[in-house]
Amino acid sequence: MIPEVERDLIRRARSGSLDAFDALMRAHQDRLYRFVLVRGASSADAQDIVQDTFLAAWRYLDGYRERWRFSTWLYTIARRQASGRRMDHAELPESLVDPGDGPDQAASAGQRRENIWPVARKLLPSDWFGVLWLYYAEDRKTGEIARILGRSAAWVKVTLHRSRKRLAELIDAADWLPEEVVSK
Amino acid sequence: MNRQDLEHRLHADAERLGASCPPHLRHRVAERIRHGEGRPSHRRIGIPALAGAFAATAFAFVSVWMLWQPSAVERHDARTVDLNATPVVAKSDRMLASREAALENEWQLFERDLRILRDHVTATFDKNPNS
Repeated sequence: MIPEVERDLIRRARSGSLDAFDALMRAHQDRLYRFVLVRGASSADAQDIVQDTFLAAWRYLDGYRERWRFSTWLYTIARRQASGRRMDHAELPESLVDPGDGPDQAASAGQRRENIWPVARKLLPSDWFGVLWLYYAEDRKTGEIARILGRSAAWVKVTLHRSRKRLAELIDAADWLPEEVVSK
Repeated sequence: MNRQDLEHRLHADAERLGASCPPHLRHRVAERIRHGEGRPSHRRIGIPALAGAFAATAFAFVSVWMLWQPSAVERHDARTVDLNATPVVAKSDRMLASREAALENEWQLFERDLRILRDHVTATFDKNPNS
């Protein structure tokens, strides 16, 4: 969404326009829902969290400061809303994984070419995965990630480096192993 | 896998992960808002401003309270038990005390002059002119 348009919608929503807030929800709901899903929530929990997040955003819209992107503010609320729930799904939901990843594509690429994110979800600790996701999938800067996750920027940078390194090492190791070993 | 390949793959694969939020969820939120749940607070005064206002009020209250305190008066009973080493007195009390001290000093000087005069006169008339 264009920043000027979003700013105008926020201003109107602050003055009580539900239509403006509905437009904001429409613009952010899918990515917010995906963010909660990849963090390990079940589908039902993710819907509840997104709903509670939007309600909290409406309630505290006056407290939003434009220092951060609106979506960053929403992610921060969603992370807090999710803190009291079980987020222990180690695998990404089936609905999320791209059905285009198939054996034909893998054969044409000449290598094992499954989506890297489900692999990362299995291999990395939950916090590390969250940092990696926000940085690469959501294009957040380290300061924004620190804000969303309630951590320091230094922790985010170190975790980003470690998670990249570990993921690369584990994927390389898996690529060199025979197929029957990988499948175990 | 080098870092560039990994980053490229992370970006590209993330684009292929899509999720669509059920539309009824947005309608449900709008419904709850319409029914008065989660109404914007319209609170224009932030917590720091409230804290500042509270501090200013407390300061003003303490100032007024201190101004209304009666001034300390020198107590004679305190002097008797030697507890009044540095008495706190009001301005008028201090002026009165200094005036009394000056009068006392004048009186002592006058007494001393009288004694000297008396001694001088006595010495003059007691002197034997024939001796």
